Amino acid sequence: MSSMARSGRLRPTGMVGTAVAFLAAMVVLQACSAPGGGATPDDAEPGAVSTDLGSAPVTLRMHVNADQRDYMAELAAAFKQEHPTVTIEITAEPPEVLQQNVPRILAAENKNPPDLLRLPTMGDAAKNRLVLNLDRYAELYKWGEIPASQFTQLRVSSDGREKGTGSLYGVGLGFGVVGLYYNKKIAQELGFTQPPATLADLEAMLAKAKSSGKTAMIGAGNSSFLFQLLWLAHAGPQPISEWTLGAPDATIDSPEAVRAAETVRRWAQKGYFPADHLAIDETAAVGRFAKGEALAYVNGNWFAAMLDKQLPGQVGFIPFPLVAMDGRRTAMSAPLTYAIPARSTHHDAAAAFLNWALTSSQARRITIKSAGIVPGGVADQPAAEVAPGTALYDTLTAFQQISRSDGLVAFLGDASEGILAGTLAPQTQLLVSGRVSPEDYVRKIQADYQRDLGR
Amino acid sequence: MTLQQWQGPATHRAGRAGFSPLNARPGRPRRRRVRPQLAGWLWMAPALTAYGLFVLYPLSQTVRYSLYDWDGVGSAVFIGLDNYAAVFSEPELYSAIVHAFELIVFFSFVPTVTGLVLAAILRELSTGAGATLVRTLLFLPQAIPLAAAAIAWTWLYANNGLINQVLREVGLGRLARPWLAEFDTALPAVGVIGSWLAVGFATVLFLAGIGKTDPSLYEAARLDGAGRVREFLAVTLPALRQEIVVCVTVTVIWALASFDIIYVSTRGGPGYQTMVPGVAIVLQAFTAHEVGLASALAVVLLVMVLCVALPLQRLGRPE
Amino acid sequence: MTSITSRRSASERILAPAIIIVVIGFTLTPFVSMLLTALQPRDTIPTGLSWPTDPQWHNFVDAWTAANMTALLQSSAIIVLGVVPASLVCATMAGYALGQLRIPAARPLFLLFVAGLTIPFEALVVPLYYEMRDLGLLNTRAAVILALIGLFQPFGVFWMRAHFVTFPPHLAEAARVDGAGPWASFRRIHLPLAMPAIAALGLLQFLTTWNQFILAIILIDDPAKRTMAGALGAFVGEHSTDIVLICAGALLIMLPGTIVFIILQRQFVRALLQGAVKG
Repeated sequence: MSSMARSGRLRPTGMVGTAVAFLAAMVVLQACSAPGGGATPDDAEPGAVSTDLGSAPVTLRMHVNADQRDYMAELAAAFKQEHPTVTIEITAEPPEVLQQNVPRILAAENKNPPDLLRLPTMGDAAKNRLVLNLDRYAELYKWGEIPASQFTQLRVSSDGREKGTGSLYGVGLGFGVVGLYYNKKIAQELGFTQPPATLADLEAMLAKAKSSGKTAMIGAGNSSFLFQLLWLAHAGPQPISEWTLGAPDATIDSPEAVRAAETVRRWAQKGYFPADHLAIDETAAVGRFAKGEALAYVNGNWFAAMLDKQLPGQVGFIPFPLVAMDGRRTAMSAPLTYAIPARSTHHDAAAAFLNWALTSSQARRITIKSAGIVPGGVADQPAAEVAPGTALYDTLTAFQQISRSDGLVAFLGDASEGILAGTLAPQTQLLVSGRVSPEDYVRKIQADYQRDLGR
Repeated sequence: MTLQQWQGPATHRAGRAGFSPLNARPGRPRRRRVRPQLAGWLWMAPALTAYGLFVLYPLSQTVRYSLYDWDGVGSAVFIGLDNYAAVFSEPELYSAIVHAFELIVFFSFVPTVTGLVLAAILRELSTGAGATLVRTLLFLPQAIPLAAAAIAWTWLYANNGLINQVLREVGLGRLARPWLAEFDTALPAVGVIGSWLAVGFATVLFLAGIGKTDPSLYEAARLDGAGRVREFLAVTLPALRQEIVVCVTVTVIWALASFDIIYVSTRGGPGYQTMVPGVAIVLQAFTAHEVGLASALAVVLLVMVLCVALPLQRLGRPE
Repeated sequence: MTSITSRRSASERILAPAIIIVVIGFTLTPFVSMLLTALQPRDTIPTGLSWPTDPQWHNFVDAWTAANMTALLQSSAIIVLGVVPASLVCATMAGYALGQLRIPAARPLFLLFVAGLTIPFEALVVPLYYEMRDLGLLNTRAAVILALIGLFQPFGVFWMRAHFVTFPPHLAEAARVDGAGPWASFRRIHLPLAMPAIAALGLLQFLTTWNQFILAIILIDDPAKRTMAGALGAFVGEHSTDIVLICAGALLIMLPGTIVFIILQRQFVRALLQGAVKG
């Protein structure tokens, strides 16, 4: 509370004069040089690449999200059994803290970066040449055999402006995929035996739930997942993928996006969301769905294991239904990106770990069991230990369907650094409460998108 | 530096001139007279160093960053005053400034007025045993972390929190709502937290001020037949002038520079309804990686505080 | 004052205590609500004010462990010990120099510090972050300690100078006549007499440091290395649906500061009010 006692007899003019003079002097002294440092393109190339890790003991340091500490610890232990000379030390931080710290961890001034780093989004790290270019490791380890769409979001063009093309800068150890959870028990009570096949089916189910006095759909009040899924349903994956990856001339201001926003608004008006919808955050939403509160819940596969535990046998998961019933499936999906900081001194060992985690069947099993997410890589069968009829099994099936139709797109929130918290979250709240029209919603997102990307 | 200056105020020099060894040969420069000059600055050095390194230098950096477009990692691009133009043209940014001024009503005006009224009513209690207890309890909100206050009030405002519970009990259930999550009520709700924090401070401040007031002034008023209200206007208010200026200055700075409360309770939402400059600075710099824009906001915040604090100080000086 | 109180009518004599009760009630309601909630069984979603039929005192133990309070207490203590003594030394020396020693440029120097009185921490937190990053001090307590020492100088120097300026000069005169230099004079005369002012300043700085939030969360990522108040952010984020635990944890975090405040409340209030009106 020192701010509270800052009054007293101040002499305004003398004080201001001194302050301004001093300030001006400092500014002039520094005005010449720009803050920050630049990095040359060569910084991000590894030296020699090799699969041979040598016999000297190596300790890799890895920074992960706090909620994945146990999963990564299991992977590290299993990897050590295959490569006894390599020990992996894990540091975990809460996700928002990690996102804030990534620039600092990767910065040129950091003399001691970790060897493996969870990157919440590819962001500017590749553009600033702060993470390793993995193309040569990809060749060495033959990652070309893995479906290319799993690497799309990890590629950055050489000028750093576009994602989806160019060199590979990270590896996705497991994928999150967003779809529709539904409560089978409530659905049966309402007389539905099948999950919704089309968007119209879904809307009918929501209406029936509402008229029977149940909460139709629950979600975080500022989440743009529903909007994005509806946009996917109307427009297909192509325009959305281009927009999230920053393709030139990509725009969200389109009739399909407006229709998606209108749908969100209409569902809010019809009362399909709970009365305190705006007050609900992600944790509250999943907590309430897990207590059996709502019929439908839009979120990602990472909750599947927990939901299976809380509502055994009652939860199903499908890719969000499209407008028309056809074989295609689309969904937002993001790789859990791991990258190697360019200044790490153990490139080969780190790359070997990434390769092992991506391709070995043991790693895939750990990913499914311990993290409850879908592993990437080549194999087509879900692991045998997952029982059909569970949400977890559904998510694995769904991911394969989507992967096969090439329907994986990135999240809207990944389009730029600040767009999620700065634009999507508050604008969605405005949309849901009717304070902004669907057209203005879409236009505002596009305007902020262009400003963020410097267009 | 003259000998007189070293020896202190002129009034006390008179009787000493002949006795001090320092004065033995007036007019002849002594090493002793030069050293005090440097010694004096040596005394200032630690404070100046700390202040310079961790306040003045960052202050100049803020101004410098505000002229660039920088993400905190890569290289920066000089863009002159573009950040400032953005601050005043983009709704989600200037609304932060507007909200800061709106919070002044809750953080400053309401507590000051309430504090004055309460202090006047409780005047007789400015001394006494019960007074200590009352004072301690009223001051308690000042002793806790602001973040804790925000948590306490977030729970009070929750959908199933105390406020809604009471409303439902007395039959006003249709007024019950998630106060911090609704567009129309979020900012006033945050404001009430500020009022809660400040009203005890204001009351105790004014009580102390009244305690220092000459009781004969009240006697005179009573003899003139003044009622409570006239007594308040004619005696109490003028006597508390300095305290009022202090209270308003301090609470206005709290309102403009607020961070902890909003960051913990609403983080600027819903929409941009409760965004304030402090929170906007942190979100722009560390989440959106727009360091230049955040710095421009910081400079605007500084100017806002100066523009309010200085005139208030002028008001407080006895003419 | 008896002549004044005796002429107050009966209704007015009831009015004052009634108003006091209302205002104190308003002040204490948030605390009471949190306390009652903290005593509810875990995993329930209690409504507002519900008297706990089965007070779960062990919730506080759970909260203590969940929030890692022991580490937090230590961390806050380390930060306070790092900040307050050093800051007091700097401010006292500078206040003495400005208030008692006739140094050239005293006025501009003083104004320089006074200018800093209106600078909110929020305006400096971004460049402080990058400065600490460049110094390699991010995520260390030293970052918060150094920053706070600097940030406390404007008020501290202002406060100590205000004390030294009003100090009667004849005592110091006597020392000077005896040939004492500024240091001896300071040590033997001024410092002991300045102790109340220094103590009051120290109390204020202790409170501000202990309750420091923004610097702690921006400069330190590891919640266990922050101040108790700074760790609240992470604690709430981690357990956002467990309102019972959050209430228990928040109450625990409020406790040390509150205890110190209650014990020293007279000094605190006097210091806070003096700080506001000083000059």
